[in-house]
Amino acid sequence: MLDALALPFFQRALVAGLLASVACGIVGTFVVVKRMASISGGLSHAAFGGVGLGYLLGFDPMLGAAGFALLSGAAMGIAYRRFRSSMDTLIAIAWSVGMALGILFVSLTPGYAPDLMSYLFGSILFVPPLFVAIAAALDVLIVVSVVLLFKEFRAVAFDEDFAQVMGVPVGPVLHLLLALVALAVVTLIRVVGVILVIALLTIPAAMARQWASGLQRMMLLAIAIGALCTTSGLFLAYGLSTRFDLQIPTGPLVILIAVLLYAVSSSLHAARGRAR
Amino acid sequence: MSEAGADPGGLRRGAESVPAIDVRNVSLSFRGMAVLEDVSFSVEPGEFVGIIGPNGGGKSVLLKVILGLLKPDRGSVLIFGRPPDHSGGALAYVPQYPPFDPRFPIRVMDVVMLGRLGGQRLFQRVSDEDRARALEAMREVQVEHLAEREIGKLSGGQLQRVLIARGLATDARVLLLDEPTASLDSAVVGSFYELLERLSKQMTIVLVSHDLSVMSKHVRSVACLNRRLHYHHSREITREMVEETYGCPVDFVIHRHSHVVLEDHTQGAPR
Repeated sequence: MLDALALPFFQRALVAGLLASVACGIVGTFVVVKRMASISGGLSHAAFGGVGLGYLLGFDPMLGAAGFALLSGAAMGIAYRRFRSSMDTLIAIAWSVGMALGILFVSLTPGYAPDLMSYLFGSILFVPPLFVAIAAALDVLIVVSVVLLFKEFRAVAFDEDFAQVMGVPVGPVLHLLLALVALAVVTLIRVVGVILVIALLTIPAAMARQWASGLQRMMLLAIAIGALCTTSGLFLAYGLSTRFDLQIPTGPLVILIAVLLYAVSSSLHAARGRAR
Repeated sequence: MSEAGADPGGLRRGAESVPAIDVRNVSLSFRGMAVLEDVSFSVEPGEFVGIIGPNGGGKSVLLKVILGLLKPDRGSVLIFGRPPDHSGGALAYVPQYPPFDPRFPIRVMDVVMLGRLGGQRLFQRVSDEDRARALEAMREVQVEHLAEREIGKLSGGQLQRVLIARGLATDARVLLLDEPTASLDSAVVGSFYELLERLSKQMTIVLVSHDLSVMSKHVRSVACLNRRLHYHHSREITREMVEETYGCPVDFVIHRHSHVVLEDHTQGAPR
């Protein structure tokens, strides 16, 4: 199975998976500790509206996805600050409106929409070289932001009220955090698709929290777990395809592997808790 | 600045006479329910004020308004003559309940260091002085041995003391505390109030508590807060309660819909 490593497309897929893991580990950690899972789900589904617009107007759908994710992130940031109590409803609206617009735009697009499934469920094995470069750039942006503003991000994620009293610009920090979630969504769309992004933003980080103390270690462990899931998913998809001639998309495999690991991790964690 | 009234922020007076906290005609309601109505009072620098009142009387809400976390519907709040969100780190507070997820992966030391954020600019690294101040604050409430522990592994009383240390680690000139001793052992409570008395020589302290005996022993003046006009009978109860507890006449400043007492009886209260 290691012969796959010699194939350029497989190498690219591997690199794309690792780059996505960096984004999902760092941003996912904040998503989990700040309980933003549904916000991130809303953002990724809103991004599908941008994918559809890309098809309709003939530009790269990933560009549309990035634009829609960032815009809806900004809108949700404002909504979160203004009407916290009804946040749940607003997320549901962004979530479904994004999908509705995407489907509407695609149906208006003349002719057949190739590749649409790859945005819904990911298609990492056929990732174009340009995307690898984009994912790398987004990773750099995410890492630099979090390294520079770690104290502020942690303060706001932990206790917004106290951070505000201490003079931390809570609003801008929250907006930046949502923008980072939007960017992470973009790097993950190619790997698992808009529908499954929420899983990679939550499962590796939630697993990491069971074993790591401190946000930094949690991030590193979540990156490692994300890398393990995407890499093993890739090899599994490749193996199924070459050995058994089964064409199974990688995205769902990555998610199922992640859930399996999470179940094992949770039971080990619970067992350790009982042993004490 | 017009909403601050005739003398906006005391700017025309000498700097030493600007009140630490100046609350004027503050009203606030949630979904049509009045929580604070026309509340006015001011706290001079160096005062140690207690706020008492029935549950749901708006005490915690008033603290949040003073902190700038809630905007009043009407009226104004000035901290040393400036709005709370521009008070330049003059404020710190100790919340009643931990407002965060107790499973958040963060060590005690890092929680207390949040109190040092005010003096720091964005991107700036933590200095040795910040660390020293955080350790000193932890020593004051005897949690320095827990510095490396995750907050999820603390007892309720330990966590409350960590929150107090976080408030003490700040450079604030005004410290607001909301029922800070609610989950503390009685053994710790005594030394905690001694600590507050010591601190009150250097800073302004506002303490919300329902523990009237504690109030009478340590606080230098007291305010009684009940938000609503239809509670005339409860005002009477509160009045008797207060007078009985403090053993001295307490003047009620009664506003139309609420009553706020702020009567300095430094002479009467034991120091």
